[in-house]
Amino acid sequence: MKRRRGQLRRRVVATAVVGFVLLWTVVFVQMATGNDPALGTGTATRSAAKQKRLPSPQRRSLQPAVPPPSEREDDESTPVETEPSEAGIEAERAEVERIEIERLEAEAREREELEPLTTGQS
Amino acid sequence: MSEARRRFECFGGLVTLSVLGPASMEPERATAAAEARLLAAHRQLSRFLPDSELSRLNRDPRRRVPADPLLLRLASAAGEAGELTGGLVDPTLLGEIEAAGYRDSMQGRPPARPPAEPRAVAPAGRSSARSWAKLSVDWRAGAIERPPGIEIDSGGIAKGLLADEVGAMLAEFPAYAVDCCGDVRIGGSAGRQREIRVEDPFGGEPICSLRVSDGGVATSGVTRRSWEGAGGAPAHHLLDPATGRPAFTGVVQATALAPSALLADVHAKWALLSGPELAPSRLPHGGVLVLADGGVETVVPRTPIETAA
Repeated sequence: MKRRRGQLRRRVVATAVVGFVLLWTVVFVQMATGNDPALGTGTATRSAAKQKRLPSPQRRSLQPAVPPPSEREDDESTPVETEPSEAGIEAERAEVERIEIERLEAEAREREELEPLTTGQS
Repeated sequence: MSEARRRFECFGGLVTLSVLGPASMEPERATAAAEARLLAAHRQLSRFLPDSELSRLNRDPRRRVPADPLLLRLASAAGEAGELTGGLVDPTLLGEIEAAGYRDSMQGRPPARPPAEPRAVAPAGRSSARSWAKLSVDWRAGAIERPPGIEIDSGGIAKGLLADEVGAMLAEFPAYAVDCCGDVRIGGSAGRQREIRVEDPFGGEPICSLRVSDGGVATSGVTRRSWEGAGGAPAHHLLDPATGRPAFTGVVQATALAPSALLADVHAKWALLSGPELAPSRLPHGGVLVLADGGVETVVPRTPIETAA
């Protein structure tokens, strides 16, 4: 009787420890992958992280002109499950940035002064 | 969009071409074609090349001489320059200018005595011979008519004429500039302005700058193509048609704006030969005058430049 009581106690303790560990493992994995439920959807979290990493003022200035693909998806209330893969988003973002940089460079060239000439005695 | 530039020797000086356009329009290729056109025109119109078509025309004993369209245009422009200026700009004084000592291109040669020192100054006058009025062009037959012995000096007129012609070749590009040794044609479909600096005839920094988006700019003066004439007297290439000798009018350099480079060249010479009092009236589209005492006078345009052909 005494031995059976000890076995039951050990099972309860082991189950509690395993359950505790499993629960925190799930939480840890979710946090580590950036899917903190307290911060909303995973997409928005990645977008914010990317914006912080933008290195130069020129690149930062691109953001208001063309919203990142992830934000456009949010506006259309696209379910998280159907969003493109992270690699796809990156490729699309890079393409948008490339086009925008080309446009800004073209505008800058338009504003550039043409090289002066000199008129002298012919 | 990229700007193709070329700089090469032609017409006894340096020619600069600048063409701005997208890669799809091949601006490099266009500048190469423009360079080839200008070099061919130089071989055709130089009076310093004995085999040029102009030299052959000047030697030709016939009254009526068949000619290439470019030479027809040069002869026509020579007559029009005389007509416009009442004979003050006379491109038929070749014999006189050779007699004054200008027998080779003087390319790269420094002026004999910079600046040419004026003696008694007076506005230039017209030639009684009016040879320019005896030039006529039969466009349909492709021939030039003139009394044998009348010779054409291509001089600045050819540079202005070719700057305009090459400008027309490049007109579809967003921006272009053709600088034929100081006779400049600016234009392009984008209407962008370009700064044109005016050289100091006495060798200092540019005296001022003009902004042109479509039109011509040309400068004539007496301090660069100058040499020592008979008795060591200063001489230069702008002749007084009344005397056939170098003109000292009190204006040492005139820069003219005009709808075309050819017209700008004629107006610049006309202003210089007219002397300080009348010179501003010879620059209807504006310009800059440098007087013998070093004074600089900017002439405000009375007639805005309109798009030229």
